[in-house]
Amino acid sequence: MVDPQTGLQNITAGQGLAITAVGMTIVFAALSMISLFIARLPGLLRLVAVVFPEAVAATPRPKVETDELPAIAAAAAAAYHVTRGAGVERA
Amino acid sequence: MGVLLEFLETTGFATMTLGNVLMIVIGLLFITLAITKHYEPLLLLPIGFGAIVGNIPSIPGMALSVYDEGSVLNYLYFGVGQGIYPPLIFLGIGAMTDFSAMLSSPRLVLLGAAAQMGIFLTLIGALYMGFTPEEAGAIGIIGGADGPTAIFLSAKLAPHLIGAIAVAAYSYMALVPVIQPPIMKLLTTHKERLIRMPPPRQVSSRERIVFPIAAFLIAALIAPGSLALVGMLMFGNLLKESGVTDRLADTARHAFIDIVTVLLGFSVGASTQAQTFLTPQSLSIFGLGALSFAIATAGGVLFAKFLNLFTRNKINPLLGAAGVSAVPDSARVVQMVGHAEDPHNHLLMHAMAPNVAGVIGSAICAGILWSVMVK
Repeated sequence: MVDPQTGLQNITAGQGLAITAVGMTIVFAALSMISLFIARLPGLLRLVAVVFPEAVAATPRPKVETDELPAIAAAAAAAYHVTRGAGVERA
Repeated sequence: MGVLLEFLETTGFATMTLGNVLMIVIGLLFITLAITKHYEPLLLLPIGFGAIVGNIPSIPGMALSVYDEGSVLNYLYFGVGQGIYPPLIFLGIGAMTDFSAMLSSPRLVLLGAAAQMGIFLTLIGALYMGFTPEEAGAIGIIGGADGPTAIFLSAKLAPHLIGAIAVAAYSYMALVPVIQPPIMKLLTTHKERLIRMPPPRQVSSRERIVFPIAAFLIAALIAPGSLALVGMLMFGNLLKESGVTDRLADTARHAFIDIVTVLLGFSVGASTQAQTFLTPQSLSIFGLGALSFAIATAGGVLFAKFLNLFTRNKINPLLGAAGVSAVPDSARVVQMVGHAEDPHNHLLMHAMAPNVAGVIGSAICAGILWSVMVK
């Protein structure tokens, strides 16, 4: 329902300016704290890592058989040739 | 013959008003915009069809409409009226959101706070126009550019305005690419728009796991009213980042959020009956909604310029416009405007930082307003 009171009188009665000031202060305070926490987080985690080191997932090196190398090189060269050729045709 | 005449009197044709016809046309317009222009189709299409359904006149004595106790639509609307759907949507959003951009640039979080100015200045505008403080708070939250948050707070403070506020919020979110660029260009110089941001740093897995828990604690302890929204957002994000609940995270960001979106959009649309929706109040809400988006955008941009007065590493002030949540549309707009000035300047990743901070900020604002206005 629209209140019969309007204008500055209604802003004062509804404490509009106070709510705005308090609201903006709180939202800035909350997000500033989150921002500060984020900024300090890497340092905190470095300290934690001294006691609980982060497990690094071991990724095994891909094994390449030496006798497959010429075939791989030929395939790569063929792919390069085809791509380059296609590019020239498009141009 | 008498039975036939009696039946004819109950048909929609006999009881339909001009207002109902107008709302059905608006529903069709939403569906058209969703299909042809791709304006927020996931929301505008359910809302549009819901508006058509909601504007078929009810038969007295039969529980049919959203507002008839015991009707099917009334049960579906329960989730809107009690503010249940919005936190569930936030669960899905949390499971989709990557906070890495924000974690790598903490100072950009403040832009998400500055953009919330739109909420509070609109509240003052609504009070000036004669709305009650509760209604003004619910209208102001449109400036948060976050549909679920707007519905959540309206359900708590001004349930009779949910339809108008939800439609205004989602309509303006769809219009972000139209509303924001002129304001961004007006408030920035060509030189400012060319500012390049340093590449974001690598964020560790531990940071991404700790963040949702810490952010929830900070937000909920400062503004307990934001508990449901921020709690579900951060819970969803923890499901994603923990790495051990992939199935849950996957469900939350796909099937779960889709189901809730369908229910939310359809029930909000069905609540826009001409008799409750087509009022001078709704027009005022649409006007104030547009104003709140403009103020929020300006607030973010101007605050970025203000920060530049004190910092050595300048922030591209366009990023401030992403402080209004509207994820990821406003971040895309920042990228688009920045890219138009310099095709080699990619601001999208940087804009995601204030963008997701804006989501947290608007949820906190909803909590603050709810706490302040609760009787």
